[in-house]
Amino acid sequence: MDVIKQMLTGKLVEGYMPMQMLFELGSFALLFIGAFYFLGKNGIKVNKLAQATGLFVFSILYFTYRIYPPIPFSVRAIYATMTLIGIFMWVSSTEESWKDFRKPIIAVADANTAITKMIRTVVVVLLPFLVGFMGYNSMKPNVDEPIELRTVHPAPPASTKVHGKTFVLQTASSPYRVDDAGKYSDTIQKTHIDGNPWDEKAPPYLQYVREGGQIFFQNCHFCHGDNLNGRGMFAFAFNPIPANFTDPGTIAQLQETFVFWRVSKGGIGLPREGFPWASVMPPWEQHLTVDEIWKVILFEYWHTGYYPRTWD
Amino acid sequence: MAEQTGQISKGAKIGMAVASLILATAYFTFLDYALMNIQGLDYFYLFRK
Amino acid sequence: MATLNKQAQKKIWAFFALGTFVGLLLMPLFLSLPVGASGGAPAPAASTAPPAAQPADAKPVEKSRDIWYKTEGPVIGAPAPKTTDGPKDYPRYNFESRVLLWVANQQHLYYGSFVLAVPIFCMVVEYLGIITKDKALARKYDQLAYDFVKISLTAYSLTAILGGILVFTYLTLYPTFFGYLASIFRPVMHTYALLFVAESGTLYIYYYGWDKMREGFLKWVHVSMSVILNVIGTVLMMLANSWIAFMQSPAGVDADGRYLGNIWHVIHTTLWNPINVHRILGNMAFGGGVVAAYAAYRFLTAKTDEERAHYDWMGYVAMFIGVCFLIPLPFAGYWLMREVYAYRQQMGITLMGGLLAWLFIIQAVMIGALFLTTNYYLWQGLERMRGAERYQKYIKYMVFVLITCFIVWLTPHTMVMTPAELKAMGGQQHPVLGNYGVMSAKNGAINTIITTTVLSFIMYQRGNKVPTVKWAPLGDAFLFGLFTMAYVNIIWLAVYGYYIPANVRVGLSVPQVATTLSCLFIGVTLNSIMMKGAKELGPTVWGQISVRSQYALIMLATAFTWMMGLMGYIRSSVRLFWHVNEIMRDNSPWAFTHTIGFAANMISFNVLFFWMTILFVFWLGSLGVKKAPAAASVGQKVPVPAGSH
Repeated sequence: MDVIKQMLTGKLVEGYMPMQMLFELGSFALLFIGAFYFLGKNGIKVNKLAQATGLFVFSILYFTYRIYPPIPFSVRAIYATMTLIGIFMWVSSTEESWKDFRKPIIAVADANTAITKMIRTVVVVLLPFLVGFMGYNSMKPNVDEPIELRTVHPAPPASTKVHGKTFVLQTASSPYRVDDAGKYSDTIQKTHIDGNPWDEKAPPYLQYVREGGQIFFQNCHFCHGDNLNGRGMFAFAFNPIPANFTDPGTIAQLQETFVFWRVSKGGIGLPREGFPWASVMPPWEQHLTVDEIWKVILFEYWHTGYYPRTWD
Repeated sequence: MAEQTGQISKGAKIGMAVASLILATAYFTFLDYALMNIQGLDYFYLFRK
Repeated sequence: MATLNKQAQKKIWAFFALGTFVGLLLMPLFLSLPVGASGGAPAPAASTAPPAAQPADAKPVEKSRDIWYKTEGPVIGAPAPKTTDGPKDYPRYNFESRVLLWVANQQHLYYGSFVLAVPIFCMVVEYLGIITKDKALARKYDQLAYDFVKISLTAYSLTAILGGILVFTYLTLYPTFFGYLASIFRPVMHTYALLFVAESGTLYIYYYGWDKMREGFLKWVHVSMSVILNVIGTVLMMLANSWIAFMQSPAGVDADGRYLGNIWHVIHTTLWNPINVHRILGNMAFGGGVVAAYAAYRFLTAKTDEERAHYDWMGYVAMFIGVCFLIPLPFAGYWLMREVYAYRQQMGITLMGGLLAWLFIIQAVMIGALFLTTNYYLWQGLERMRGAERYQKYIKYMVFVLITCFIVWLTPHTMVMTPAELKAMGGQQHPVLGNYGVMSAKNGAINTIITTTVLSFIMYQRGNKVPTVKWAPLGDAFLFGLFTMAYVNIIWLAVYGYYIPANVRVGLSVPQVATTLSCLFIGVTLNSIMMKGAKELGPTVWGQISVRSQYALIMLATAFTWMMGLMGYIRSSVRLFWHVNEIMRDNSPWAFTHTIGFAANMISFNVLFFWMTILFVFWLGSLGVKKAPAAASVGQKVPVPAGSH
């Protein structure tokens, strides 16, 4: 309930933002439709072109200023294009509204009155300038760093060799994701998700989680953060900043063996598509044992509450 | 025949809509459960402790 | 009663004749299977293998393990040759061989899928013509089917020519690789060639026998022949698919690529069936698109109202068939993707999250274009009907739902951004966009889109009709409940997916798809029953439709073509530097993955080339026509699929 209250006061609530954005968009759409309906009922007919322009400008403002952190331009461009297509589909959906939409444009082109004549003149004069401006803008020397298409999760090799042992990524499994009898278990994490790793009599799984946690806070948290959200104290010295494990797009999307490979080999062990230097994580095999790596991964999954991806 | 449609009271219409909503909910819940079950997965995973 | 019996008798005879035909035609396939399995001749590819690989099969009966099925089998074939860059393994012109092969392959595939799809339409439309009681309608259907097959006849010979070009390109530019493939698929390739003869024979009899087999029993035989034609066509395609499936997920050979004597294992690799299903559906959608574009082109150039009415109708029928197969296509694609992941996680990640992920974003755009265009066309179709104005006010809400879903659908997982934007965002992950970027959200979005498309169609079906059945209010209420809860269920499952582990989450897509399909089958069926004998508010005036709708059809077809080229490229290039995945390495200088821009330009070139040549085919088709359609006066009742007449 608290969440809904916060939403109604216009606050973006972390964790609920995706649905909140959809909900807000829906509300605004209904508001638009309702407003024009109401105006129409009261004899004020707003031209379709004006409606469309208003809607488009509004959507641009919404995506640029409402959502925080700011959305990159490439994504906003996609959104604006989609909105534009939607608006076109809407205004041209019936013959009547299409005529209404074209009316002012045709009126300007025909220029039968003094006002439209003036607008036409202005448009005809301005158009070449607009094209010229676009040309200038695209030719202008740019000092921004170039955009790179970074592959965040490059395809892993079929197998990886760590400390002399070969792990086949398709079939290997964590030796510590085990039930009390020491057998690999997919469900053990769920059983102990609220368990207490500091309990002396904790089951083996939770003890491994605790050991993993110790390793994490001795080695990893400087960058990946004490909340595992990629906001460690060194994080902003790097570009890109370290991975945020609490995001559903990182470890939640990956097999445990993939994470094992990434941790062991670090940024320098990335395949070519991950280069150049899209990650500065050290190859942890130089500092940790195989067991320690598996344990720290176990801890990361346990702490974030995500489960490694499995295929069966 | 259109008159016949008109004869049905608003209350009956709402009743039918609610009934079909309930029916559809039951159907989809069953569908979700059954199809997850066939795959050997637990639909109510989150709600079981 | 007597007539009924006669009808039934005719059908029995037709089925009998059909069975015999199919049996005879498929005989070579069954005969070749045991021959291939027992391994007729030893190591045919030995000459192409480099000497270093020879000693491997020196022992008398060596056994080895199947790389995929893990069964033991006698080593029969030679190991996969290890090629080196040079004129021996990769003879070339002063040009990139791979690009030549790409064009040859793509053009053959375009025409191949067109000539496989169109006979299927023919079959359906001809059958509709037979069962339709109205004589005028029956003739109209029959004429349409005949028009279809006429177009496909020219395209058929072009397909064969392009197939020849493709084989020669392989033989001359990739002789070692093709030799290896041929050594493994020897019996399959022969069967393929024989079936091609059977396909040609059947097609010619089918086409030239049209007038002779016009009445009674012979008509049933004729329609049965279209079934045979399609069976052969489908088997042909599946055999060809086995080659590409083998290249991607080899089986039936050992780790050195030596054939182990079981031809079924070689054909039936893990990706074979997903590719088969995906391609059949894709061909149908593509064929529908091409025919619809043809109709749209004729509509736009039409001089009379009759012509406009005919081609409007033809475009509608073709679009309808195409979209029927477009709707299950994403699910087939999802199945294929799942199998790819299950086969090699590495391959799956390369596709979806790695090297080729950007192409998948382009694909998402194209899928978006397809569904948006379909909806748009259906909405425009409401203009044909008097009384459909009632539904036009709902369009804006549907536009909103579709566009919102596309915004989610198109949000990339990895965003293109300048380093400054990256800093402003505080990392790669965004609290909103990050959630839209993963599969759970995408599944929810695409299922909502498809459900909305179904809703658009139901709206179109109802257009000018008012149901007269007694239970109509109950039916309306049920449709309301069904769709409302379907939307709720789809969105709920999408959100739920974020809270549970990945292996359970992946399973959620199945009920999600089932929800969409429930709407499709229950909703459309129920609506069709309700519309039986419905009161019409006004006639459906074919030809009275905006030109925008026809441009939409052309756009639909172009999007199909472009997407086919794109997906084919993705599927093919996911092997990276392998000819046969993990068995035979591509050592030519072109074993790299092209840049996105180059690939997109190549695809566009292929699309343009295809449309130019197919226009020629259409023009050839129009040469033989004396006067276009059987006169269909404006407002005349014409058949519409899916029981809305």
